[in-house]
Amino acid sequence: MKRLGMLAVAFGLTAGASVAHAQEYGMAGCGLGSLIFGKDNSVMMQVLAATTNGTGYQTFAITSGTSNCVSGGVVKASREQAAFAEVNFQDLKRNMASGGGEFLSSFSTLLGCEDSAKATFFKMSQEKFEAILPSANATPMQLVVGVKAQIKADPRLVNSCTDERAIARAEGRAEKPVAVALTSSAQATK
Amino acid sequence: MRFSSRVAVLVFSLFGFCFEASSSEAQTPVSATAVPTYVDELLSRSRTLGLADKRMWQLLGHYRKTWWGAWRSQADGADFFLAGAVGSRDPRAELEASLRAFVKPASTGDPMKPEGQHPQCVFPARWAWLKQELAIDARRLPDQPCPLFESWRSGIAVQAATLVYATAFLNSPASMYGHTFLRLSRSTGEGNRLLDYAVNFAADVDTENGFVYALRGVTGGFRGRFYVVPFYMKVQEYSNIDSRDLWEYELALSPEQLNRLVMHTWETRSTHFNYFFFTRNCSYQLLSLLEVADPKLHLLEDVDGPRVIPADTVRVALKQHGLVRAIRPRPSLRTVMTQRKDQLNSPEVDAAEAWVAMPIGGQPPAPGPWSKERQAMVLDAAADYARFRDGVRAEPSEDFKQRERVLLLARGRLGVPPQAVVTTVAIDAPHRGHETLRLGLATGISDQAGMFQTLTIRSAIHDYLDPPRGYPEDAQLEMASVRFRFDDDRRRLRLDKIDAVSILSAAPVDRWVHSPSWKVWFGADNARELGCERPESTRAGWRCLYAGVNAGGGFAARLGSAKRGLMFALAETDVGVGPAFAANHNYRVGAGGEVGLVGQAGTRFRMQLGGRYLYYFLGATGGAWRGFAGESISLTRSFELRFATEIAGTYTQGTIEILGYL
Repeated sequence: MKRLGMLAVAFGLTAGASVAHAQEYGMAGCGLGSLIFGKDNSVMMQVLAATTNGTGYQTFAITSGTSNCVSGGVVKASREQAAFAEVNFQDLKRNMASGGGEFLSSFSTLLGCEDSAKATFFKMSQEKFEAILPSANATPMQLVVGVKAQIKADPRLVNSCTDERAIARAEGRAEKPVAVALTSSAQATK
Repeated sequence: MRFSSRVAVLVFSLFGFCFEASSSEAQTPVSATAVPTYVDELLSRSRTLGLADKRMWQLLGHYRKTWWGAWRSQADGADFFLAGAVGSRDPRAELEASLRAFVKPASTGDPMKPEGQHPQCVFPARWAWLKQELAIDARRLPDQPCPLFESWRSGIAVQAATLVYATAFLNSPASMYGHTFLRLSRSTGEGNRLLDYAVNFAADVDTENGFVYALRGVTGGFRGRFYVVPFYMKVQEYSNIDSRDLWEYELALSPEQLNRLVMHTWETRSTHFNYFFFTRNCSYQLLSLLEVADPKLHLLEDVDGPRVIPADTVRVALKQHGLVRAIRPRPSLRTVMTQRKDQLNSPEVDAAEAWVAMPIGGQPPAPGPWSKERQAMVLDAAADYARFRDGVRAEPSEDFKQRERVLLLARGRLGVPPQAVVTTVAIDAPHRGHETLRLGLATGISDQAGMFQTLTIRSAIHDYLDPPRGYPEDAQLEMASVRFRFDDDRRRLRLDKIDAVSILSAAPVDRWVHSPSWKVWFGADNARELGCERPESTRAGWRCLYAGVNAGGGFAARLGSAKRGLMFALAETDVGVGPAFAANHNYRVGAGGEVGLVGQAGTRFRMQLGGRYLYYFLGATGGAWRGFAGESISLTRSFELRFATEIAGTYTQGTIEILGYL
């Protein structure tokens, strides 16, 4: 697989390794978005495909090999936010503008948001749309970085969407004890 | 630091607790002489227990009985067999070779590299099963650390499995066979399905040449593998790029079964399966994975045959008692877009179009005189439309990006939350569709040849008069259909028609969706318009036959307030070769057109009217016209009664047919 976003690689490989480096968590790109492409839908191909039961050929070049983002098809924990933003960039933008939706909801899970904070996160994404995505050519990585900066700047979200929770989720660790611990510590600091 | 070792460091630290747990076991001292004796003990116990004859082992090795009774694995990659080539034919040799491999000392290679893996890490499902069946003593034969596998498994974090069926792309009958893959729910919860992983069996297609593709696809010339990809990539592929609705069948599998499914998916990385489009295809191999998860399921036996149609495999899964616990649809971008448009009134649709057609750098359209909520609906529909038109390309155009930005900024400024859209999918669930194989028995009478009977066998899959549930409404796709006819008066059995391929893809005109309607047919037919059924004809019987190809294109429209009627008009060319044509010509080439009308009343009645005129200007020249009128009535889910009148020139016949879907 093409290693796009090489600039961010060193960053990303050390990030996410421990909670201590959590501020850089997820800030490295994957180049996965470039794998989305249209298929040959010419009539000729359709007829041939019809006659050969054209069911299922691999569209995306995520092979069983190991790349800097994906291993055996599974996205590495520290790259999940970036990979998601790259592949679903357009849907994310549209969910942000309309203030909610399935893609934005899942993205908030990857960002370590509590379920109870989702509505606030949706509202924030809509309000800060222009700040997060300053131009028509804004990149998925700008989206990730911008959203995280807005979370940090938003007192309603800074304790509800945390990298610690995001890391725990990405690693498939038990959700509840972590969430409870973080909530109680967050409440304690209030 | 080298790249790979950095990855290792990353994953080790991320999954440290898993790694430590397994490595501490690995450090248990094992004496060099104790291992062989224990292996011998295990080997003899495996023989006593007859483990190689157990279904679980046969499933793990993808062993299937050949017609002459021998075992043969369907896995075609040599690395899948620890016993070497004999392992693909001998389950017992493979089992014993596996046991011997599992006692090997820890590998010295990089545990994060695929080539440095211990056999226990390459075949975790085999290892887990043998450990359990033989009650292997972990002190005498320890688990090896498998950090690469463990990091993969904990990334998937499986909680549930769902069989996903991709319906036909509405204007692509090619996709009418459907496609299936698995979605593995992740610990992130059902509210985040996008974050799940998909397991997809797919062929590695390395050709752009359609004919090579077809040939190799039919003969097993491609290698198929199980691929794990983030589910959101499948959603992009099917929902956004291909506009295919998905139907999800959530499976009731236990945590142990799910774990075995994931472990076995990993095992298949060491092999490939030759991909046969008709038989051992995506859906077939997916069932083999489900059988490994739950060996009590007998799925492949039900679908094994000359062809495996994905919708059939869904029906097979549903027949298993209690296997499917929930069914739900996921509409495609196009379905949602159409529904958003249908919620708008005419000025609002105009407004949405104005947004999509807005000049670059110019003023965005003025907001209409509607509430913020209605404006949001207009903008949401416009955004869908823009995306559908231009946004599913690999590189959206600069114009698209500029327009999209203006649109989204305007949408954001409304400050209104997402507006509800009714989401019913365009194509009904496949399990509600009729079965694939169709048999028909008809009795008929013609004005020129008297009474006759016909027997029709159709391999696949759907025409306009078949029960419409579970199939696209606008298309028909028939393959390998053969009709025999017996003439009562002449006591003669003959071939009536072969539809090798018959596709009619009608794409009704729509303000936002523009696709051509087209058809293609090749097969064999009788040229009755030439008068060969007349008693005095010298070209009766097989001499009336020809082989032909027909192709055309045109337009279609939905009619009526409920849009239940479909009409189409197509221009076409037609080529035929055979004894049917006049003595000095054995062929004819012509051009003409066809019109058709399809309608339904309730869920039981359907009717179709059609006419076709062709003028042949080469070979056996002259005009020929055919007409068709048919009506069908669903009797039960599996039976249908059909009345038809067919006209070819001066020849007319009427039939009553009973059809069974098996």
